Amino acid sequence: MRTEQLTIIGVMALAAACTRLGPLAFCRNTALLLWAQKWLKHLPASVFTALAIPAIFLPKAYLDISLDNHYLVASVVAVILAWRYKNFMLTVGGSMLVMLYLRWLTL
Amino acid sequence: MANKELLQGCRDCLPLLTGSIPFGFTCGIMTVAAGFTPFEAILMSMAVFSGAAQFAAVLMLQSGNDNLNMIIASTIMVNLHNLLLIASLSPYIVNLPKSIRYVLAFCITDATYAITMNRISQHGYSASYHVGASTVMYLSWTFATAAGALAGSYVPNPLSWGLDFTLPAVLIAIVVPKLSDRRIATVVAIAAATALAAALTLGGKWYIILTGIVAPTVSLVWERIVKHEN
Repeated sequence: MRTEQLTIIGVMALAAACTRLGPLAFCRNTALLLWAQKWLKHLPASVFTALAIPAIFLPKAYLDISLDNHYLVASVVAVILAWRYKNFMLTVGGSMLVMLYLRWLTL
Repeated sequence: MANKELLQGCRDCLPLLTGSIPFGFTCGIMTVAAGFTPFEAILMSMAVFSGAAQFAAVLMLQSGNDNLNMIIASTIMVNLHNLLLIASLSPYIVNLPKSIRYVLAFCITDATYAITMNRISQHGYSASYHVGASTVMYLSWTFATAAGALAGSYVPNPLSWGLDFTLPAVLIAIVVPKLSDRRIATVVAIAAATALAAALTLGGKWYIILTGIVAPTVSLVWERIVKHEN
């Protein structure tokens, strides 16, 4: 194995590990403050939304609110299925089928 | 019981694989195209285990930028939001044995976090479930990269089918049914506006970090104001 490639992999592994293992050093067995617990309770919904919104509205790195944006169309279907049926597999499966169909139409 | 939880964690991750496997496969193809051997590409996936960071580094290398400091900086930037994910999970994993705690933290991904937090909101935390989900995501990523690195040049790009839509679909399936709770609806509305504005104006994955800080804070303040008025 070549040194240059091994070095790149090594420093990347170290950098990635720092962001994942670093917080554990600050989260020992001490109880979290009440406000911190409340704050953290709000965090999952915030992060989920932050992950989903740009992937839906900016799939090509610019705002695309049109029917040509397949991610947006499939998301609308997913939202309707999730709200109406509250079924995880139906939502994911149904919206993925819509996405595949849209891609197939444009091929 | 622990085995049942472990298997449930593995099972719940399966829908997400339709997104992560094509992504890993493409990553394997691109890593080899950037001058790594298939073995080095697999080693990178096993040691770094961060799709966005691997893509960023490979793209930099392909464009002739082999500056190590830049690669370190981009790896840290695209992974910085993991700080928030680990902080959010820390109340649950803090009492686990050190070795398991560190393995779970190393294996954190957006998908594993989403699945685990969804499970916590329904049935409480289970370390076995978390381990199951993490194992499936780690192995699938490694094997998908290996397949891409070894056989990629013979297969058309799987991402052209929009399979990367799986993660947004999973997140919608988790979040939307909870929007009848006004507290969660408020957080989601603030987060959506912040994420969109930040993604349009900031580079990299800063929008995740900014939203992760702004939305819970504003929601907490908002809750206090409403409570005070009542």
